[in-house]
Amino acid sequence: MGSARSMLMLFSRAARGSMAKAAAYRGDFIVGLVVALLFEFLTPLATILIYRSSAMTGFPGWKMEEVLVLQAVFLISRGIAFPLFFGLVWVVFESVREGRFELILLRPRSPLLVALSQGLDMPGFVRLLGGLALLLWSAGRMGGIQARSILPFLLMLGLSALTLFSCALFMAGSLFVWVGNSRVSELLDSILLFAQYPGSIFSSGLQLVLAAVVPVSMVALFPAEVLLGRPDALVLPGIGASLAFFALGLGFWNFMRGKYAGAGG
Amino acid sequence: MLMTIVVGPAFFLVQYFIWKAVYASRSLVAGFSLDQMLRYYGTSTIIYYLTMDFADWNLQMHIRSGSFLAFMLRPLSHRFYALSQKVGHRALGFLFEFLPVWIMFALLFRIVILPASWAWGLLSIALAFLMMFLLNYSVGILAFWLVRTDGIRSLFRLFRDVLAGSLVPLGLFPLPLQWVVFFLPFQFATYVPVQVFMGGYRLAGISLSLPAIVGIQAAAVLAMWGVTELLWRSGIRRYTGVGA
Amino acid sequence: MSLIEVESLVKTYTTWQRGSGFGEIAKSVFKRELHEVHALNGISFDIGEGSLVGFLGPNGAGKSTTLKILTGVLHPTSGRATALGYCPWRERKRYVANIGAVFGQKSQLIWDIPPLDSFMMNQAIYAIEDGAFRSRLDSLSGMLGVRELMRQPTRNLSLGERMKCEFIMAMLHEPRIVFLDEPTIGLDLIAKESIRDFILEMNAQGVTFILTTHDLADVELLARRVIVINSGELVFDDGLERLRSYFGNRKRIRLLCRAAIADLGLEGLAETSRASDRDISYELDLGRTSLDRFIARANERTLIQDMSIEEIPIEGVIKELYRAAATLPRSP
Repeated sequence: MGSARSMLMLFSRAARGSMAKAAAYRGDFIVGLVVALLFEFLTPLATILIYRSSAMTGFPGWKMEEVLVLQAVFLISRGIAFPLFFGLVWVVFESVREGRFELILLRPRSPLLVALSQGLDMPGFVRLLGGLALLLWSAGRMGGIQARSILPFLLMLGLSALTLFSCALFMAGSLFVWVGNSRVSELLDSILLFAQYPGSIFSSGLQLVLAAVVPVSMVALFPAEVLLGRPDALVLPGIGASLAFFALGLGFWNFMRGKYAGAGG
Repeated sequence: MLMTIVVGPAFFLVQYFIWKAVYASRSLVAGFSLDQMLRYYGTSTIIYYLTMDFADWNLQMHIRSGSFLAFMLRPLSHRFYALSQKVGHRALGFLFEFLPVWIMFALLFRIVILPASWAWGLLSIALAFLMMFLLNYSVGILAFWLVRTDGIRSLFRLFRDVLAGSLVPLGLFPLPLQWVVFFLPFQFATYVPVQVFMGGYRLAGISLSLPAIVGIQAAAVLAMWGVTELLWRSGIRRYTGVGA
Repeated sequence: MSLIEVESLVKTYTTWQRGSGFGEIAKSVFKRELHEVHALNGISFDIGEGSLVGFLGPNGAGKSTTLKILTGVLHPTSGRATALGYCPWRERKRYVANIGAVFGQKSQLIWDIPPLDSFMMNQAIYAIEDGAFRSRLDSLSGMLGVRELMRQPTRNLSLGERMKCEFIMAMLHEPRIVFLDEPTIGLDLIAKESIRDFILEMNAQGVTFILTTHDLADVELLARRVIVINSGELVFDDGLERLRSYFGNRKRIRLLCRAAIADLGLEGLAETSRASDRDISYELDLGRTSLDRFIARANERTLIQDMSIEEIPIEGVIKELYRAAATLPRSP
């Protein structure tokens, strides 16, 4: 079988499996989905409240609708990346803790691919709807988006999903050594907090770190700025940084996985 | 616990930048000055370390896995056991979460968080400790009826955090919503002790003195204790009826 | 060249140890005492195609380590191994496409969905062609009698039914070697028998099985060759018959006599227990006294009402092999 075809088949079978899994627990699944959607809207809700209580000035240089677009982009990117890439973290977490990771290594594919396919969470894509709804609503209030921004925006969105994938790789890789660290997602959440607000509120030093060292700003800020037609100077270095970050993530995963198998001797 | 030292201050750091930006063009937001706003979040964060628990997750885990049976066989009230567990955990939390973060706030952000009145402040925190426990425990009791409680627990946590003022101070909510929150139990677990710490209680246009609000808080805890007791009895009837 | 060749495999882990006193725990945050574990001390063996080998050893002896190395999952510290012409850990991806594994205590099926769905995910992973997949699935599920059962969620199946599906999962891609780790653990007698029959049938078709187990009935009924590992070293590598006769050619005999019987006075005859004066169990070393001499002597001394003659169960031998490895002579 051709490699692309076989990957596609792997993806479609995994997707099927994940839907069947969700369907097995119908009631709680729906409640869980609704609650997840509600959680999504907390930060935009807080933003609206902040703007309303400050006579709509809020963050300097940003209209409320623009901040909401930023947060919508965050939700969209997360809605794409989490169902695809973050199941990996929980698959590694459980299988390493229970000593079952060998089962993944027994498959004639890259362990990353096998773990990703086991972690695929199709129903999770529903959360994309929340982000899309927010984007359409805020963009509508602003009078729409420039058509020529859309293609660059989609490319940036791709990079954003890639950055989140890198985060998943670092998290999963760390679980080979810090076995059973269930609070690793809290660490990610606290880092991602910095991605949900306009970069201009942070000190310039911090903005540089968020663009070039751990490219958190690539997750939402830069794609949103491109969409709004107001990219800032840090976007270009941010692109380079997110690609480098991805390479580092892959390297980290391979290194940690190798250590687990005793490859270092 | 190491996580908490990173996560707590990270959350606060973001709030710090948010409010510095918002206050660039004004000096008051919903009646708070910048210093008061930052104090609000700082106080919220560290009081959470003194009052939080996982009683909901623990109880439902015991019920689901069947290990709850061991408790039924012992002459011990599970609620008492769980509460004692919380006391133990929070004692550790005081040392390894509260203190380091308090010091970080004092040194890095130059916010020294001390209660306006030590007596009322500590009393309010103790009551909030109980209230948080009772709220979480009650949700855990639902495991007697529901196969999976993940969804309900998340929903509960959502309401609890938002309506307790962890997201934004309740003063920023529209007035009608503030009225609703006033009559819900959630505020007594987080919002009230934070306000008492800071010296004055304000919600929905109502201002109350410290003794008054702490008194109401105590009454609320008593009422919640009753609710938990009723839920518990009903749950146990169902549990033993189904057959162990 | 044998199907599997293992030469001087060594595996050493470094792990850390600490005491449980509070002071030690606090100290361990800053400094940990390193500790070397010699899991394997240089083992060598060969396995030919179509074999059914029993792999035994006490817990922590190095069995799992050897198996992990042979399945490509673990890198040894030193030594060589070849299986199916590959080096398992260096050419893992290509090698594991030809092997399968069934773990009695680690399920490879997804819990909430029917085994059939898990099989289909496996088809995608092993890139099995549709036609081959369908006919293979049909034949395996027919042999194991789970054609209808495999459409129910895994959690609804009994342990025996689940194990049968685990076997299908492991063999859909027509592996040439199958590693089994406690495959019959927890199963009732009938399920054990079906699984054993299945293994023998597949072995007759040419599949090589490497069986790790603590269930000695599994060993007696399936294995033709037994390898015993203890403290990281090979202490036995030979046929099942040799295992039985490790302590010499012996039999267990139980005599039920009409009248009370005293000592028979034969060399190599040992009384093992006495239910009563007339109901005695012996162990007879056939190298010292033949069976017909024993029967003749018993006839002289008493009237035999009933007699049963049995093989020595391998349990005794295994226990000896599991004790101090260093003091036992290696099997020739």
